[in-house]
Amino acid sequence: MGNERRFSAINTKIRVMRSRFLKDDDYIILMEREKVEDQIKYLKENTVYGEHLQDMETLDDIQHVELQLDRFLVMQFKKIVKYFSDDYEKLFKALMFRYETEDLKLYLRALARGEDLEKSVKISVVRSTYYSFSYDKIKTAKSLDDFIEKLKGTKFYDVLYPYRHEAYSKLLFYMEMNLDRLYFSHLSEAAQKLSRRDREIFNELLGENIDLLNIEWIYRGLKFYSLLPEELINYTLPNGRYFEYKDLKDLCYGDIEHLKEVVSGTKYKELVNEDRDIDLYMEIRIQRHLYDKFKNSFTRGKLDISISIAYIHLLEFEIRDIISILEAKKYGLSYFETKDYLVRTIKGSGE
Amino acid sequence: MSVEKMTMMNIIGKVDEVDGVLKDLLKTKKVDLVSALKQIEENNFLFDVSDENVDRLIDLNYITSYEKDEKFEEVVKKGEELESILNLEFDRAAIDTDAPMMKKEVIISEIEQIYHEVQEPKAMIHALEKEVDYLENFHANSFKEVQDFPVTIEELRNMEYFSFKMGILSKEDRYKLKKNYENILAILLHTGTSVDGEVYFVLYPSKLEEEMKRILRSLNFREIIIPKEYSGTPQEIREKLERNKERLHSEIQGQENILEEIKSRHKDRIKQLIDQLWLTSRLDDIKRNVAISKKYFYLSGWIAESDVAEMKRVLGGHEDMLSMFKGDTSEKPPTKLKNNWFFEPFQWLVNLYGTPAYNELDPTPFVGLSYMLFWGIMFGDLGQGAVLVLGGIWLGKKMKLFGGLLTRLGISSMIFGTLYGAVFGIETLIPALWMKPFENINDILMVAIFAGIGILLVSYVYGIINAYKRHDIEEGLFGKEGVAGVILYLMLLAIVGGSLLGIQIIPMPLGVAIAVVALLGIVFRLPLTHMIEKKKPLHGDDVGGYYVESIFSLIETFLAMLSGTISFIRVGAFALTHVGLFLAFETIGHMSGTTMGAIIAMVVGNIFVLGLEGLIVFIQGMRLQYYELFSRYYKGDGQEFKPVSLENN
Repeated sequence: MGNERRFSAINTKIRVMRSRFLKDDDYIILMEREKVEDQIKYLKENTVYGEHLQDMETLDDIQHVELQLDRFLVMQFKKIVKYFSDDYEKLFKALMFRYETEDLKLYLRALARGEDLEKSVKISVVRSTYYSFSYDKIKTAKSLDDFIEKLKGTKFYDVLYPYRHEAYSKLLFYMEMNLDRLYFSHLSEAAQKLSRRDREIFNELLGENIDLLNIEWIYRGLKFYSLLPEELINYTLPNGRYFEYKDLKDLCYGDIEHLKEVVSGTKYKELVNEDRDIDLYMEIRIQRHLYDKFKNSFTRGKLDISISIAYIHLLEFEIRDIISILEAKKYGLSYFETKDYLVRTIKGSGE
Repeated sequence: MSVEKMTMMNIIGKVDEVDGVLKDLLKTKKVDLVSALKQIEENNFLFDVSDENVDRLIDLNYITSYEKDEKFEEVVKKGEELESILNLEFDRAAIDTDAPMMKKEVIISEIEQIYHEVQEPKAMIHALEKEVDYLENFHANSFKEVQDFPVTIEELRNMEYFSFKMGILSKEDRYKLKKNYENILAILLHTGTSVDGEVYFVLYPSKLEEEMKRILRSLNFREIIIPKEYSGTPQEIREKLERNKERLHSEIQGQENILEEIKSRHKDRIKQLIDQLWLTSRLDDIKRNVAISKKYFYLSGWIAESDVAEMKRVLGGHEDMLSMFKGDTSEKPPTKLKNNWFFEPFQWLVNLYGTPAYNELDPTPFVGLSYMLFWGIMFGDLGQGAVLVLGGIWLGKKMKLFGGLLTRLGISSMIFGTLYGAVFGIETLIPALWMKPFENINDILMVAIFAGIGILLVSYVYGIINAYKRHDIEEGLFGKEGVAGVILYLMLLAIVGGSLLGIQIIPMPLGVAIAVVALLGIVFRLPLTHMIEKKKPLHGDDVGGYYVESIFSLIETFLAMLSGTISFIRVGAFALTHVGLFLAFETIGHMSGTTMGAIIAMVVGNIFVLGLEGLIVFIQGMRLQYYELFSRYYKGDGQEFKPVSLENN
C-alpha cells in the first residue's frame, strides 16, 4: 500500500484532532487562575478534555485529572490504530505497549505496598481487556514470585523472572529499567517492518529519544547512583542515533566532566548548558528537544508516519504541561516559575 | 418428490413406561419432539372425557417438566474422561438399547468407583511426565556443547579463589557482554541450549562475587541452579540424567500397566456402564420436552402422516397408552422432504439456502433438472464428465450427498460432451451430435438465453403456486412474480423478442395493451387485493408513500426481468470459456513442438480446467439458482424436520 493511500485519511483526521489542543491563551489563562479548583473548572468547561472530567466530584483532585487525561490519550491511540493495518497497526500497538507496562508497574507497586490489585485497576490507564497479560490471573497473586509466575507466557516473564526473589525496594528500580528496555526493543523491532521511508523517519525519532535517555541515565548513574561502569553500560538502550555502544561505553567509564564535554560537542548540547541547574532541568530539556522535533514534523506535514507519531507525543507533552501547571499552583509557584517547568514555550516567555 | 404431510402425535402413558417408550421412539428416528408442556397449555391435548380418561385429565393439573439432573451430568463427564484415560472409544451408534436399564444410583456408584481407581495411576503418570519434561527441556541440554569438559562439578565447587555460575543469556545481552569483554574479569563459555535460551558457564574470581552478581543481573542473567546431588564431569552428569530419564520412563510404563490391568479387569462392565450412562443421559436430554404428572407422562412430537401406522404399532407394545394424531393444528409443522434417489442430492443444495416452509412447494426436482441442464451446457465434456462420475462415486463413500451431486453433474457433462463432441478437451476425437459451441458462438449464446427463459417461466409457475398455497392474493395475482408479472414478462418477450428476431408474435397494439393492464395491476396491487378480500380501507396509512414506492418498484421489475433474462448468457459464455481454455493449452502444447510436450500440456490443462473452471461453473450454477430463480419463487423459511435419535441432539 502506498503512503498516499495509507496516510491521507488519518493525517487529515489528526490535523482536526490537533486543532483541539490548548492554545497559548489557554495556557496563560490556566496559569493565571488563582486556585487549582478554578483551573480544573476551566479545563472542564472550555477544553476538549472537559467531557472526560465530567464525573469529578470535587475539583481539587489533580491525580484524578491526570488519570483521566492519560485515559484520553489511550483512547486517541485506539482511534488512530483503527486507521492502520498489518505492520503499521503493530507499530502503534507497540507504542501503546508503554501504557501497558505503566499499568504493570502500578500493579507491582501496589503489590509491594500489600494492597489489593482490584483497587489498582481503577487507576490503571489501559482497559484490562487490552492487556497482553491476563489481569484476572494476576489479580489473585499473593506474592511477587506468584505474580511473576502468573505472567508466564508473556513478554514480561523473561525480564522479570530474575528478580522474583528480590526485595521490593530494590526491585522497582530493576523492573522499571527492564520494562523500559523491553518497550524500546519492542518498538525497534516493530519499526523494522515499516516501509523504507517510514522506517528511516521512525528510527530517527526513536534514535534521538534513545540517545537522550541514555545520556540522562549515564549522567545520573555517574552522579547519584554508585553503579559499576559495567552495570551502567548494560542498562543503556541499544539503537541510539548518534551515540553508539562504543560512545556510550566511553561515557560510562569516564566521569561527569567528560560527559559534559562530549555532549556539548553534539546536537544535544542544551542538556548540559550550565546557565541553569543541569540536574533540575535535564528532564524538561529532553522533552523540549523532542517537542521541537515533533512540532517540526507537523509543520512539514508530509504524507508519512511522522504526523501520527508526532500527534501522540505532542498530546502527551500537553498533558504533562497541564498537570505541571496544576501542580505548580498547588505548591504556590509564580507564573514565571511555572513557565520554566513547561515543555511548551509560551509566547513572551523565554528560557 | 414433495414435502411430506405431517401430523402431531400426542401421547399419554404411565410414568414408569416413559424410558421404554422414548427408547422405542428413538430407534424409529421418525419423531421430531416438541415441548409437551406448550402443547398442553395450548389445549392440544384433547380427548374424550370418558370414565377411563378422567384420571388422566385430573392429573393434568399436577403437571411439571423433568428437571436437568446436574449431578448425573457430572458423572457423564467422568465417564467420558474414563474413556479417554483408558483409551477406550465406544461407538455411540452401537449401543445395546435392548439391555435392561440400570438404576441411576447403580451407574453413578460404579462409575465413581472405577473413576476413583484410575485416579492414582493417572496422577502419578502426570507427575512423572512433568519430571521427564523438566529433564528434557532443561538440564539435559544445558551441558550438550561441553561433552569433553574434563573437570568435575566437585572440583569446580571446591575451587578456593574462583567461583562459577551457569545460566541463560539473551542474544542481545550476550552481545553487550562481548563488546565489553576487556572490562569484565570472567570467562564465559557456551555450554548448550535449553528451551529458554542459550546456556553459559561463567567463571570468575571469588573476590569479585558481588560485582559479578550485579553485572550479571544487569544482563538479565537467569541462573540455573545445579542440584547438589549432581556430581562428576558434564558428560557424567548428562549420562546420569539420561539414566534418570529412563528410570522415569519405566516408572510411567509401570503405571500404565496398572491402568491396562484395570481396563482389562473391568472392560465389559465399563462398556455396559458407559452405554447405560450415555443412554440415560440422552433420554434425560429428550425428557426436557416431556411433561409429567403424578402418574402419567405426556409427550408430543411431529411425525409424517405415512408413519402413523408404524407409530401405532410401536406404541401398541406398551401397556395402557393413549395416543392422538392430529393433522391440522394452528402450529407450523417442520418440513420433511421426500425425494426419490435421483433428486435426493439436490435437496442438499436447497437446504443450504433454506428449508422449504411446510406449505411451500419442494423445489428440489426443479432445482435438480435445471442445475444439471446449466451445468451440462457450461461444462460439456465426455471425458471430464466421466472423471466427475468416478470422483463422485469415490467421494460418495464419505460424503453421500455431495458425492451423489457430483455423479449426477458428471452424467450431465457426459451427455452434453457427446452432443458437443468433446473428450478431455479434444474436439476432433468424436463427431458432435448437435454442435461445436466454439464454431457456433451465436447459437450457443441464444440456446443459453432460451433455456434461461424457459426455466424462468417455470419458476414463475412455482411462485404462483406457492402464493396460492399461502393464500397470498397480493403476491400471487398482482405481484411482480405473480400472474401479473408473468403476463408482463410474456408480453415483453413477445414484443422485444419478436422485433429482434424479425417476426411478429403478437400484434404490437394488443401486446402493449395487455402489458399496460398487467402494469396497472402491479401498481394497484394493494387496493385491488383489499377489494377482492372486501377489506377497508383500501390502502394503509401512507397512500402517497405507497404509490411512490409502487411506481419505483416498476422500474426495478423491468430491470430484474431484463437482467434476469440476459444473465443466462453466462451459461453459453462458460461453454465457450471451457473450449477456449483448452485451446490455450493446446496451443502451449504445439509451441513445445514435441508430442510429449503436447501430452503434458493437455494433462495439465485438464487438471486445471477440472479444478478451477469446475469450481467456477459450480458457483455460477448456484448463483443462477439462488439469485435469479429462488428470489422469484422461493422463501425457504421452513424448519427442518429433525427426528430424535440416539446419536445426535
